[in-house]
Amino acid sequence: MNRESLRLINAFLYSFVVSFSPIETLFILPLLIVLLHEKEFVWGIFKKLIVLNFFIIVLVVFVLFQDPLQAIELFMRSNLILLFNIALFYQSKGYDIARGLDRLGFAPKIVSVTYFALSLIDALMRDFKETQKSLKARGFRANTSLFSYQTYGNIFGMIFIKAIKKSHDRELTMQARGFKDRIFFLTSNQLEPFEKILLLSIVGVLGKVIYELLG
Amino acid sequence: MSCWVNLRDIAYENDKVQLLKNITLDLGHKEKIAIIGSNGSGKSTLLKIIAGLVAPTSGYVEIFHDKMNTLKAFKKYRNAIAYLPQDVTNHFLCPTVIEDVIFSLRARGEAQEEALQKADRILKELHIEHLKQRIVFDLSGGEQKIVALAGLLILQPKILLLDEPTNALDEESQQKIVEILNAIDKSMIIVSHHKSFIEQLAPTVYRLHNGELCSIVKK
Repeated sequence: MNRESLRLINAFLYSFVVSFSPIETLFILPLLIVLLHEKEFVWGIFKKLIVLNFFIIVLVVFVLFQDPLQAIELFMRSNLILLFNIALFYQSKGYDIARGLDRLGFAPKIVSVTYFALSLIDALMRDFKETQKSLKARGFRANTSLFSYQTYGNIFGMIFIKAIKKSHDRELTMQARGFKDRIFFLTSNQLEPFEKILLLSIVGVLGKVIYELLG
Repeated sequence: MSCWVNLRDIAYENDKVQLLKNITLDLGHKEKIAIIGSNGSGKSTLLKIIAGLVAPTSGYVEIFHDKMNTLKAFKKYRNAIAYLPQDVTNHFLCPTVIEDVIFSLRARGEAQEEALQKADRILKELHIEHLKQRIVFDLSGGEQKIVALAGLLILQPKILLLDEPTNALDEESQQKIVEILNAIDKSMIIVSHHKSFIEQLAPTVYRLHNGELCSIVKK
């Protein structure tokens, strides 16, 4: 077991508990442990959460008119899960997820597909950031005009084409380098007390939920 | 001099555009050949054809006097031919430098310890051992090219096919690549549009113009 795999287990367990059990104040405990561990990056973590909340709010608004209580619950649950996962993986590179899956014994094909998907997303994000810089440098200011929408439409179209071309080039590389459905990971970060404490706290929460359900 | 790669009347057409026509070329043992040409002249496509990644419309490639009728036929020579793509970010299949360098060895079944020893040696030779644990995508363009070269050289290929190895590099990085390539005693085909770079490397230079190989310069 390495750091990445235990983090994946923690993320899965916490998301599972929060999704399928009645809302508890104790849910905050593992969250506080993660936030305390990542205290230097709290602002960045919340910034990401705010951006993602745009999508959650759209979803919540739809439910709000049918069942306001359910909408609030949905809002809270999604935010707890998102905040926990963003904080847990904030410092790690996306590739660590593939590394964790590999360590957990997932099939090589699943690991490599995950890794290539993540690395392609990473490459396209880099491209998108560079394009944004170019837009700024060329005096483009985004507003609600048709021109802005057209420009962004063009950019997303180009990124889509780039993605296709990049995956084709990747395929050629796989042929040239003798890829056989498997990538080989080497370095694995050692477990820290933080991951173990976090797991204990989540198992504690899970235990309490099960106890209350049975009792 | 025994020829290791022979191209015979290679033609390539893409979207009804004749990119390459009647290309005939011989690459000898430890010979270094350069192909120059303007952007879009078909240099990269020609290299992909030699690497067995793209099928020519007509003509054929011979590797070690073995005629390659299909792309599948190239499979047995994969370890003997090393191909460096123009955009090296497409070359990387693993996240860290060390993982990527040993990738091909591990893929052909070599033990991890043995592969790591070979990687240590090659990284030291190329003076990039300090990059070992870095994420490949976080490296500079020059460093990425050298890491990609390390990933190719570790297989001890007989033929190196390099597509624009100095593309978008500063002069210092270019010089470093020249030094590395000059020290490599293997058959090599280098494609570039940097004439000054090519002159330092290959005694034989071809120009790809209007789909045809012409104006051979032999030092």
